[in-house]
Amino acid sequence: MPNLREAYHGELDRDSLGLIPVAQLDSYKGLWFATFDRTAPSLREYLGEMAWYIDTFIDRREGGIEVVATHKWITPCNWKFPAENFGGDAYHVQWNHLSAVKIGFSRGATANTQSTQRMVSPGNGHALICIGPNDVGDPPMPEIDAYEREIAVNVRERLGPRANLVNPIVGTVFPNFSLLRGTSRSIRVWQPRGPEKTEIRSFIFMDKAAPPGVKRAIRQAGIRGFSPSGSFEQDDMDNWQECTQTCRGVMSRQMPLHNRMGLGHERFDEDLGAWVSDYRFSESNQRQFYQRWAELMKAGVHHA
Amino acid sequence: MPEEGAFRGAEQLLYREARLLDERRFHDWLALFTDDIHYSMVGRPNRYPKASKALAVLEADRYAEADLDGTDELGLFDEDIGTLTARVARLDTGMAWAEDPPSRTRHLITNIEIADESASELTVHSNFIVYRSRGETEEDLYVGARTDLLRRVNGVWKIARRRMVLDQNVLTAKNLSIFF
Repeated sequence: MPNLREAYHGELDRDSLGLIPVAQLDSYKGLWFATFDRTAPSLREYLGEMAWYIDTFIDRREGGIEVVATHKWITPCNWKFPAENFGGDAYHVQWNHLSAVKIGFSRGATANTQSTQRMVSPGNGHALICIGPNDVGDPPMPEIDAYEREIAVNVRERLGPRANLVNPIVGTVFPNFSLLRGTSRSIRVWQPRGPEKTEIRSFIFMDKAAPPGVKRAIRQAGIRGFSPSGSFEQDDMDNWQECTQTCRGVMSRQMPLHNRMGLGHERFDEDLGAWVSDYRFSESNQRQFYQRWAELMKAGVHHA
Repeated sequence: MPEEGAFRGAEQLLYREARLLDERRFHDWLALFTDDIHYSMVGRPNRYPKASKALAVLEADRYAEADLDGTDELGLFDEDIGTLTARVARLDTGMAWAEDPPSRTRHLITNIEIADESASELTVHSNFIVYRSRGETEEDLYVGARTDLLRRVNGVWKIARRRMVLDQNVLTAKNLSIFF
């Protein structure tokens, strides 16, 4: 250390200074999580049943996933809008994203009226949209369709019997880490950067074991669908911004948020280990997300 | 020095293209491309310089000063004629909310330089500043460089390849709902 003796007169207690270590650091299948909260539950306890659902995104094949493109951008919205959107807003797809579906960028699986889609909440505020086990949400590209047909049986075997019940295509690990497998493939963090500002860090991924042509196709699907220029994503940015602005109003701040779609039409499903909506559209996940958020905002310390 | 006629041809094509984009004549814009167009844009990585003393404590290989060499991990566009046409078709659906209301853009194209030239093809560098205003007070600036391959097809210059670099690492605009 320069001039330790002269400038600090030898009085600097270096042992008491330095970087603040995180209280807990742990990984789940290559995803690293850290917290400064000593009283927080362990990672596995925190994830609970959500761990299996994470597997359906990142552990479908031996070797896990690799990143094929990265996107970082700042959007003028509150972080909770994208977090809850990825955690259960199937309802918005049929209107907000219809332009992208119409021109063939997406199958629009969550808008499919024949789907057995359900909103699934495995606890602790974690939330997912699951389409039916035989519904397809992948980007409509021949390379990807062929690849998925080839690996389908092995993927189900690897994931276990629950994969015969649901096909999770998008979800949020509470509070701000989301995973996507519909229309594109992305894992992402919604990082708050102050009021009305959220930095998105998105990583387009593919199974490591996939052939190069399939990785290239997913990269293109990611750029064309879920990057800042993506035919899905650019409209979302606009809507989250507008939602944030609308909620700021003097009158709107005094009104309770209406999150009652499907209220009373949800139940706990033992096989899925989660609360599940009775219909393919519901705000059951949003209620779980915001209940957990409200609990934590009121709590002095973390309560599992 | 490139032939004056070729230079003027390239320059006028790029200026005309900028005007078509600003006038939102996207179908006319598509006609400027060859059928085998590859249209791409990447952001720029955030790296230490090779000479950085900070490298002493880092893995030098991971922090090499790779920059404008075509690294594409921050891919923002990766398009062919089919997807460019689909992007324009999306705007015509009446449900492309990011452009409803539409962006007001002004494309400023500068630093046009012919790097390579043959009878039927030109490699052309240029820089762009694109100003976008939308709604009442929203503003964005997009600044970057393009390297285009122009090809003469039936006596008319067309754009056969476009590689773009946007001079940001974390994009500060909420989206890229316009064309470059």
